[in-house]
Amino acid sequence: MKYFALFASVLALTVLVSASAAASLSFSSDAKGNIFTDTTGGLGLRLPKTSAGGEITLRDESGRVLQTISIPAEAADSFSVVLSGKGYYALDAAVKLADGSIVKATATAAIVGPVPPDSLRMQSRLGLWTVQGDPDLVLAAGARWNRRMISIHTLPESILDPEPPPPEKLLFKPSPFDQVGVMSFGLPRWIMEPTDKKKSFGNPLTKPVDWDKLKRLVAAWTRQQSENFPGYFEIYNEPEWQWTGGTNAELVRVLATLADGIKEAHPQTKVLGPGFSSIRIKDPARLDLVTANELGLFDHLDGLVVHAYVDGTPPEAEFIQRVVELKQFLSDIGRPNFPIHITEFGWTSGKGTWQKPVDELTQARYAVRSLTLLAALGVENATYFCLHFKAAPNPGERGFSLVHDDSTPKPSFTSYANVARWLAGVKGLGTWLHLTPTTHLILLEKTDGTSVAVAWDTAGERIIGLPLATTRREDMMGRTLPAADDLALSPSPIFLEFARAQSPAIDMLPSIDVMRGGDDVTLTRGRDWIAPAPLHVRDAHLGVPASAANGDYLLLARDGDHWLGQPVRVIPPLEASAPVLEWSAGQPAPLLATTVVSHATGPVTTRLAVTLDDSRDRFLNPPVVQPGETRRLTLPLDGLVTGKRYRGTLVVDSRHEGRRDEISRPLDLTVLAAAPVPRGSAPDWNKIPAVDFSDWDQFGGPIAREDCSATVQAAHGSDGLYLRVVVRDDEHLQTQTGEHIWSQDSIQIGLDPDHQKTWEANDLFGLKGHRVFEYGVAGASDDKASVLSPMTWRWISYTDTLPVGVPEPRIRLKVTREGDVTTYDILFPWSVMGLDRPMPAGSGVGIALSLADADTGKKGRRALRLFNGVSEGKDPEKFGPLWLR
Amino acid sequence: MKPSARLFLFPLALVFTAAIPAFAQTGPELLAKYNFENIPAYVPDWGAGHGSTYKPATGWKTPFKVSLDSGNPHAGANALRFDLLESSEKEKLVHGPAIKIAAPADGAIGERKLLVRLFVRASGVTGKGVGIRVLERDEKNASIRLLENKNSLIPVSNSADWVELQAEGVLHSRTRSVTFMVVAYQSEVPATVWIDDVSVELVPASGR
Repeated sequence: MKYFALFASVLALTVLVSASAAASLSFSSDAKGNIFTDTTGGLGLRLPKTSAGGEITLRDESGRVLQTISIPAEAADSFSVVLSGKGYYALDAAVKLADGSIVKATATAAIVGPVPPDSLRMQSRLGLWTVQGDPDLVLAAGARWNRRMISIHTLPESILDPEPPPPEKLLFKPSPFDQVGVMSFGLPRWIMEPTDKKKSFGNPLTKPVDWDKLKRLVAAWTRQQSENFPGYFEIYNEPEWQWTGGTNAELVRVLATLADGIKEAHPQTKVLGPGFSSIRIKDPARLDLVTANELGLFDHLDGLVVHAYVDGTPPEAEFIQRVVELKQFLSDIGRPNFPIHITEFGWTSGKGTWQKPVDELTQARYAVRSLTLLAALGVENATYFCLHFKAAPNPGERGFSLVHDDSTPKPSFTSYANVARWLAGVKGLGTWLHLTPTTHLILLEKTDGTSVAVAWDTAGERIIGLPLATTRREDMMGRTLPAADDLALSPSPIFLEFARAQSPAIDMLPSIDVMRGGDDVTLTRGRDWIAPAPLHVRDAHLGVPASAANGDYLLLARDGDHWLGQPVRVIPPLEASAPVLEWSAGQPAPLLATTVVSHATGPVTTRLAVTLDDSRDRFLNPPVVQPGETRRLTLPLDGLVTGKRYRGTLVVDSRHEGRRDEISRPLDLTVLAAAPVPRGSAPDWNKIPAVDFSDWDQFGGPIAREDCSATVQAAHGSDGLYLRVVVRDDEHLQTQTGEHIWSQDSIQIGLDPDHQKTWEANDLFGLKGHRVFEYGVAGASDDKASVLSPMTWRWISYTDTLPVGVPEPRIRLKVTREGDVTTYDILFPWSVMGLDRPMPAGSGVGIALSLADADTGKKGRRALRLFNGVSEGKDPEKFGPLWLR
Repeated sequence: MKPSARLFLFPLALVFTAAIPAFAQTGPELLAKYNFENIPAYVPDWGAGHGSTYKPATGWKTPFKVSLDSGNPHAGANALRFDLLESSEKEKLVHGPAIKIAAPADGAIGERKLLVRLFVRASGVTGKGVGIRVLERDEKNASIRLLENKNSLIPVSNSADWVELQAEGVLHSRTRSVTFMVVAYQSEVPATVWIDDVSVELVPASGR
C-alpha cells in the first residue's frame, strides 16, 4: 500500500534508540504503534549498558504464553524480537543488571496483514473514527468509513455577501476513506434567535431568525469548502441533546434546512440524518424517529444515521435488537431500503464513564461480534468508536479507544483489523444461524467470488461437529487455524472462507418445539443430522436431555449439494416467567411472583425455592400443575431487612414421570416502603424507619463512611411522595445552578409511577408505556446559614406536559445543614409525576437515588446510589420499587 | 451444607450523629444455613458421635453412616442422609459446626430466641427414636444446656415426603455458640433420616 511505507517488514527492522534513554530498558519498532501491516514484524529491545541477560515473554490476548526468549548475557545495546505470524502480542521483558537488580519493560504489538486493496476495502461496511489518533492506523485497520466533525459556529455574516471573503481554512483534505462529515457545536450567534444558553465550547443550537438565511449560510459554507467536500454528511451530531430552541417541529426544520443547504451547494453528497445519540424510535421527551418522519425530515435525506451505544451489554442482546427494530421501523414507514449509517458505537475498557466497562479481551470480542452482526443486517456504514480518544475527559471515555495512549494496540485493534479484512467486500444480507441459544454462525457472501462465515459461542468453549469444506480458517486475531471437521468455538469469533461465491445453502424445515428431559422426537426428513451438544440424534430420533438450556437450536444435515436445517426450540416441562416483587395493601410482607406454564404431558409436581444471601431459604409447594395449565405462584418474603440488598436465585424445581427439571432465575431484591400520611398531616419522621444506603452501590468510590453516608425515609399521602434524605458529609459543596447541580452535592432522583407495568417496546405512551422522570434537588453552599437555598431541576421527562431542562417549583424542598449533616426534605406532588390523583396504598413507585458527593480539590464523580438507572447510564428499567403502604 | 458466605452476622455497628435516624433492622438474623450443595462428599465441618465417641461425620461405617444423597433432595442436588445400620443402645448423632452468637448488645433487655427450620423425611423411625437437638455453649466452649432443656427439640416422624420442621427456644444469657444436631435414640434398624435446607436464625433482644 502506498500509504504504508512506514509499516516496514521485519527484514528492515531498525531499533530506534534515543540518547536520553540510554540507561533504560525499552521496546521500540519502526512501525507506528508497533502495528505491522505485514505477516511478520519485530521489535527491538534496547538494553541498559550493564545488562547481564534476561528474558522476554510473549503472550497472546488471553495472557497465554506464546514464547519465552532468553536474552544472552553477552547481548549488548539491543536485542531483536521477531514476531512471526499474524496476531496480537503482549511483550514483557525482564533484564538483570550487573549489580543484580532487575529492570522491566512492556509493550504490545499487532501483526495484522496487508491492508485490503482499495477495490475491496472501499466496498467495506466497516468504519473507524480516528478522533484524535493517527489516520494511518485507521487505514492499517482496514476501515473504509471515517468521520470528520466540523463546526460553523464562528462563520461571519459576511459569508452571505455576493462575494464572500475566502475561508480561513479548508476543512476537508484528500482522504483514503469515505468521509462522513458531521456538524456540531451550534450555529453562529448572528443567525440564531437570541439566547442566554451557553456551551463550554461552541454555541447552543436554537432556531434561526431567518430560515432562508440559514439555508443560504450552509450552502455558502459548503461551496467555500467544496474542495474535497465529503461524499456523505451527517447533518448534526446528536441534535436532540443540543437543541435548546423550541419545538420538535422547529428542530426538524433546522435539520431539514441544513440538509437542503448542503444538497443545494453539493448535490452529489449523500446527506444523512438525524444523527441521534441512540436508536430512539419513540420518545415523548425529545425528538424521536417516529416524529422526525412524521414531520417530513426523511424527505430531505439520502439515508439514516444514528449512534447505537448500549450499557456494556453483549452485542447479541439489546445492541443488535435495537438495529433489528430500526430496520422494522424503516420498513413500516415504507423505506425498507433507506441506507443505515451507524457512526458511533463501542465498548469501553476503562472505568469512569456512563458505560459499564469490559476487559480488553471482551472489548476485542465485542468489536468483532458487533461489526459482524451489523454487516449481516446490511448496515451500510458501521463506524466503531474509536481509534484513539486521546483527550478524553476520563479513563472511561479514553477506554473506548482501540489503542493505548502511546498508540500501541489493544487486543481490540488487532481483532478489528482482522474482521475488517474478512468482511471487506461483503454484499447483501447475511444469514444468521443460532446453532444453540449461545452459538452464532453468520454466513456472508462477498463480491470477490468467495463467501465467509463467522462463528462464536457467547457462553464459553464449545465444539460442534460441522464438516464444512473451507479454503481458509483464522481465529479472531488472524492466526491460521487448521482445517477440521468441527468448529472449536468460544466467545472469540473464528472466521471461515469458502471457495464458492455462495455460502452453504440451507433449506430450513419448520421449527419444532421439544421439551427437555422428555421423550425422543422422530425427525421425519434428512439423515445423519448434526446436533449441537447436549442435543443428540440417533437413528433419526432427537434427544434433548434435561440439562439442555432452553432456547433456539439448529440441527444440520447434508442433502446432496445443500444442507437441511431443522430449527428446534427447547422448552422446559415447566416454564417460569421472570420473578417480580409485589406488595399489595394489607399484605404483611412482599411476595415474589412468577407465572408457570406446563409443557409436560402429565401432571407436574413443582417446588419453588428462593435462596437469598444472608437470609434463610424459602420454599413453596403448590398443588400439582396440570398439562397445559398456566398458574401464577407467589411466595411471601417475610423477615427481610428494609433497605438491605439481597442477591440470590429463584429455582423452580419440577418433577413428572420420574424426571426432574430446574429453572434458575437470578434475584436482586431490596425492600423499600413509604409510610402512609393522613390527609392534612406531615410525616412523623421519628416513626418511619430510615434506610442506610451508603453501601448499596457506590459510584466512583470507594467512599468511606466517615467521608459520606446517607439514609432515606419515605412517606406518601394525598399531597404526594415525601422523601427525607439525611447525609453525613464533612463538606457540603454546591456552587452550581440549573442543569449543572448534579456535578456537586445533590441528589438525582429517578421516578416511575408506572413501575409495576411491563415494559412494552411498541407502547407509544411515555417510555415503553411508563411515565419516567429524573429530578435533581440541591442546596446552595452557604457557610453562614443552616437553611440552604433550595434548587430543583428536571432532566428527564417522558410526559409532554412536563418539559425537561427546567426547575420544578412545585417540588417542596427544604435543605438544612447542621454540623456535618445535610437534610433534604422533599415532597414530590403527584402532578410532577404526571398523575392527577394520589397513587393508592399497595402501589410500587419506581425509584432510584444517586447522591453526589463532591469535595473541594477532588476530581471525578462519586455518588451513593440506591437502585440504578440514573447515573452510569440512564435506564429506568433498573429503578427499584418503593412500596406505598 | 454450604454455610452462607457470611455465616456469622453481627449487628451492623453504624455510627451516626443524633441527627441521623437509626438503621432499621427487622426480622430475625440468619446465623447459618445448610443446603448441602457444592461441597465435598466428606461433608466438611460436620461430625458424628456414637455414645461418647466422636469422628468426622462420614468417618462412621457402623453402626450408622452419614453421607450426601442426590436422590430426591428437598431442593438442589443433595440432602444429608443418616442411616442407622446396626442396632445399638447408645445415642447416635450427627452435628453441624459450632455457630457463633454475639453477646447481647449493652443494655439490651429481653430474651434472645433461636429459630430452627429444616426439611426432613424419614423411614424406620420408631416412636420418639429420632429428634432434632440444639446444644448451647458459653464463650469458653463449655456446654451450658440443650436448647429449651430438651433432648429432642423437635421429634422426627416417618414420612416419604419432605416435611418442614421448625422450633424456637430462648437462649441462655451466657450462650455464645450453638450446635445443630440430629439425634437417634432408637436401637431398631434399619432406619434412615434425610435432612435438607436447614436454617438457624437469631431473634435478638428487642428492648433497651
